[in-house]
Amino acid sequence: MRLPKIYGFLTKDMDTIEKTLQKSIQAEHPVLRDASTALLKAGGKRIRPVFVLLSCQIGDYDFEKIQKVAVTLELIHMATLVHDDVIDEAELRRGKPTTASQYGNRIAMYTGDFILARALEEITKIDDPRIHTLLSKTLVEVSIGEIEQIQFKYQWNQNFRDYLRRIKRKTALLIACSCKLGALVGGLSEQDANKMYRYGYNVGMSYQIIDDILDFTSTAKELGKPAGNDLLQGNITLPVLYAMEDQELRNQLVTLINSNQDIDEKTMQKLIACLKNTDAIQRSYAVSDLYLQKALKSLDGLKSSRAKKSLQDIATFIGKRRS
Amino acid sequence: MTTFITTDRGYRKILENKLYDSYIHKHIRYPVIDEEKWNLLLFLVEQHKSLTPLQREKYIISTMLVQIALDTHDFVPVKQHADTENEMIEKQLQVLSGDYYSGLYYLLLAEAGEIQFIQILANAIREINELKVTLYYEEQLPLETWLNIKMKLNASVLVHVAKYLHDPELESIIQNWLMYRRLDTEEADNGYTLLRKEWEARNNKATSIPLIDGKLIRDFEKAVYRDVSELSSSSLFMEQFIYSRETKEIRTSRL
Repeated sequence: MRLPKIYGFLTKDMDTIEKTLQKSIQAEHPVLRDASTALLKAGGKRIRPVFVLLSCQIGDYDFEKIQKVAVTLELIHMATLVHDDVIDEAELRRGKPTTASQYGNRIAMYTGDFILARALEEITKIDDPRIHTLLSKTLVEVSIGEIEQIQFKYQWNQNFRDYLRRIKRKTALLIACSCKLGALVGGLSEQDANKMYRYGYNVGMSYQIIDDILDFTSTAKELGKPAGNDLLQGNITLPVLYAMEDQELRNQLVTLINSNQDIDEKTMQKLIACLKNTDAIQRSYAVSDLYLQKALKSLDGLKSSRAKKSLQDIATFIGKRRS
Repeated sequence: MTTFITTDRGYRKILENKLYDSYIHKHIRYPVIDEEKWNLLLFLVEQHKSLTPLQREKYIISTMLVQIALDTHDFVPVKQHADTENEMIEKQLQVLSGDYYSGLYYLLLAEAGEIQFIQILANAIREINELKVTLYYEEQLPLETWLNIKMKLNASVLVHVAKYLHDPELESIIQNWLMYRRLDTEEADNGYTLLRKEWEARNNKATSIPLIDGKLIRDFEKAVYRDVSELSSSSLFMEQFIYSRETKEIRTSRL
């Protein structure tokens, strides 16, 4: 089953959100407008707005109000992506030239800041301090996570806790926040809203671990970037941490990545093959599955509904992702 | 006046604590607090008599965080690919520390329930980035347009705050004042204004309209005093600020 089919009943609302997103990024300057529109048109799964809407539907669904939250979350995600591409010096995103490669670093920075400002203008239409406190705390945590990611690059002695804390901030918190914001706007009790938060957090953790696995198991074509790219950039992910329990492989990895030499595709493929020969991939999947089970468990006690079923299906879909 | 000085130090300490991060500032320079903007901001907030002490603190710190976040992103190198690992880290932290300061401004005001002020500053950020793109992308801007954008960019955050706390009529005097003071300080520090250097770098020196530092400073100073004379009674407090700053510096008027 394809992911959008799981929440097919949201199609009309998602279309409206798409149009609102389009309207939100209409800048006065054509370059800023084009750069923002290109980002939007590059697509993406719009998974954060989906989480927002579904979580809201667990309670009382007020589309007019909840769409402001959904649009905000997607705008924040977009702003993060455009700045990430400056950080990573990425040429392509989803097969299209990045804002930085097309217009330069400065325009990419201004575009990201512009989109973030638009996100805050949108969300401040809702006068609920709980929403702003949660969202702002999340934004700060996400930034800290990104800074930590740089700090931990090439740190071969980092442990599992370091990795988990990093992916929590990098991915899980924004999804957790999306779910809780949806629940709050839907009028759910604090207790149920926290269940939604835990659901989002665990789904996010599971999702990121699988993403990190796919960096080694997918093809360059499927990834839209070279396989093993995270490792090349010095990002030590869960499969690498497991693989490094093999001392010989650890030495090989550290020497090669630290050598500063250009690593060609053939060498990287050899390295990936060695990593696959360990149980690193299977063990990483097992950890991802643990989070997935926790995500499903978080939904216990919430009344049965189409939205709840979709959230369960999405978690399962994410957990089974193999490409 | 005593309270003003005490709180100035207190606010500064709070801001510096928020800005400092040992890892970030091992790699990139510690942000510069623009003294002229800082002084004006403190004055604008102090003049709004109905604000609580807590509101004053939140408004001052969040506004400066926004200004510093925006300034930080102006230091992201144009060069797309770093030559060394150190250059790469510097660039990455320049991007991320700006994002972090933006997040802090939002958090600070969200925790205080100051939703409208979050929006005011977000409006400023949007407007400033529109202007930055125009300035960066449009290579053939006429001098007058270019100067006007530079002036707006320099003052936009404080103009938005002033309009929210006081009166829209303060826009012009704040723009002219901040530009005048910036140029005057640059000239005093370097013997020339960075604005002129920037104009010359953008344009072919031989064919473009020349900028003369002294004249430029005088023009902005004149504009400030013209604006002072046109202030309505509700905004007269700005006159007090301007004269107090000018007297403090004991500058010879160029008028």
